[in-house]
Amino acid sequence: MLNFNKVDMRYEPYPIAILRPALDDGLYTTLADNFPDEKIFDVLPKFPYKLSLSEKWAPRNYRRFLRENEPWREFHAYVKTDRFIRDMIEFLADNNVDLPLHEAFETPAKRLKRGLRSIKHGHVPSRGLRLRSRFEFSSLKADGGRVEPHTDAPRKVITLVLSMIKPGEWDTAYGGGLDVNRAKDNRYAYNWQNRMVPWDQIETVETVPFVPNQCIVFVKTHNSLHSVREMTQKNSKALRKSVTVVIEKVL
Amino acid sequence: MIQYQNIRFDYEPYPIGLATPAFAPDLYRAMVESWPPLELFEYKADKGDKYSLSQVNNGRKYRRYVNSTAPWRELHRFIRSGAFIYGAIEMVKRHGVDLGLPIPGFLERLYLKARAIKRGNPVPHYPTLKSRFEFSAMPITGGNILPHTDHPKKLITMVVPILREDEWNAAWGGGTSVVWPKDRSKSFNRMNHYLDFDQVETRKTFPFEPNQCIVFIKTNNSWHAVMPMTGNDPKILRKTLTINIESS
Repeated sequence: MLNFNKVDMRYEPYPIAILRPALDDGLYTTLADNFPDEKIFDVLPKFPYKLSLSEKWAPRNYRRFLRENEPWREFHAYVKTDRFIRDMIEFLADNNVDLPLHEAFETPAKRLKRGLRSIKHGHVPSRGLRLRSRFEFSSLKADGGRVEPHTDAPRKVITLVLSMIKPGEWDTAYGGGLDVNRAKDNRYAYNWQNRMVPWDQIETVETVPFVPNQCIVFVKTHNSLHSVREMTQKNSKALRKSVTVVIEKVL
Repeated sequence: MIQYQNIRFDYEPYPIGLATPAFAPDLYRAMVESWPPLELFEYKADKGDKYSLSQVNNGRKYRRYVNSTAPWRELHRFIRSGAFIYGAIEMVKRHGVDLGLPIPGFLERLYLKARAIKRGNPVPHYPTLKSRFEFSAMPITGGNILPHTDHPKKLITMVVPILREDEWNAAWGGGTSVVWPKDRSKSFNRMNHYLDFDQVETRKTFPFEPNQCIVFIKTNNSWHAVMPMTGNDPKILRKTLTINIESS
């Protein structure tokens, strides 16, 4: 479903792929038209400017919405497949971002061989690397919404942020673009553990504007520092709507 | 045994530290004097005319030599110890490089695995950390190491030049260089693909000097190389001890 043909890659300070258009126009319009109503989202207690609908936040609404909404049900099912994960990894490898994740797709015979080798060396055989994808609807308020500078949790491997706004629904003057950052302070230069970095300790290398039918693909690295600057549209009801898909290691 | 108190780190484009002096003078002198004879090494023509003596290359000769030579026997014992591994991990953490280790201890790992089996959950995998060292040498007549970023299993690599104070002519080169691909699309290299020298630009070179230890952190972009040396006496060798901490 994702369109990997129109890609704009960045490699410094860390790899980012921008897919635009990310989806076939018809599918994108259908999904944007059917984006869940904000009333069924949870407002995050720590971040009152962020609304989320996912397996973790408002899970009953999330499951019911997917059950009842066919276009989203199909898109969600696609994202949850191994095929999707493989396609993402292959797409990145084709663009010089080769990740050591092949173990996640080893055959049962190879897994058995690995297990037997572990036993031979006196170790409890491990199940090996496992990957899964997570899916979240999220909205940030144009009045005060922001995402603090961070590099993503260590278990994350790839993150996709798919904008989900109808044409004319979001004015880029509101902000909401994704800032690609670099740490000014050496204490934060290597940040595999995803320590939050104070706003005054980052410099923005580039801002990717928040526009319709765009998917930003990140690879988690020690310096994948990114953020969304605070939006300041006082009393605005506008929402920066997106879908976040995370491919992560199962620990 | 390795002295980290004077270590200084650079952080761009990736963390790399230089500790000097790396060893007590007497120990370092003993290491220089007891360097293994070249006939024990395995020649690796495909690795920039490198000679190697390690667990993998001429393993038997390596073990016999290390066990029979006092300074190397003690250093080997230290390098293979958990104290060295966790000491190095703590050291880099103190310098802002938190690798997300250590891993739970043996008994805790065993308990967590047993609990997973009892509950019918998948058995969690905890990488085992290992350390090893390698003697290596390259002739100054063109010896080199191609630009690379180290194998994905490596966590920390330490390179210790082994030479006497008056032994080296800086004009030969031999320094370890932080390099960066001219084609930026090659900068991400977690899988450790190699590049040619003309495909990279040099950001910094650590001159080849006695009693120092260069500490690399393996990252997606930890590009480094030793440019082809320009001396003309093939008997003169660039000798180094390479210490690796890696995960299973």
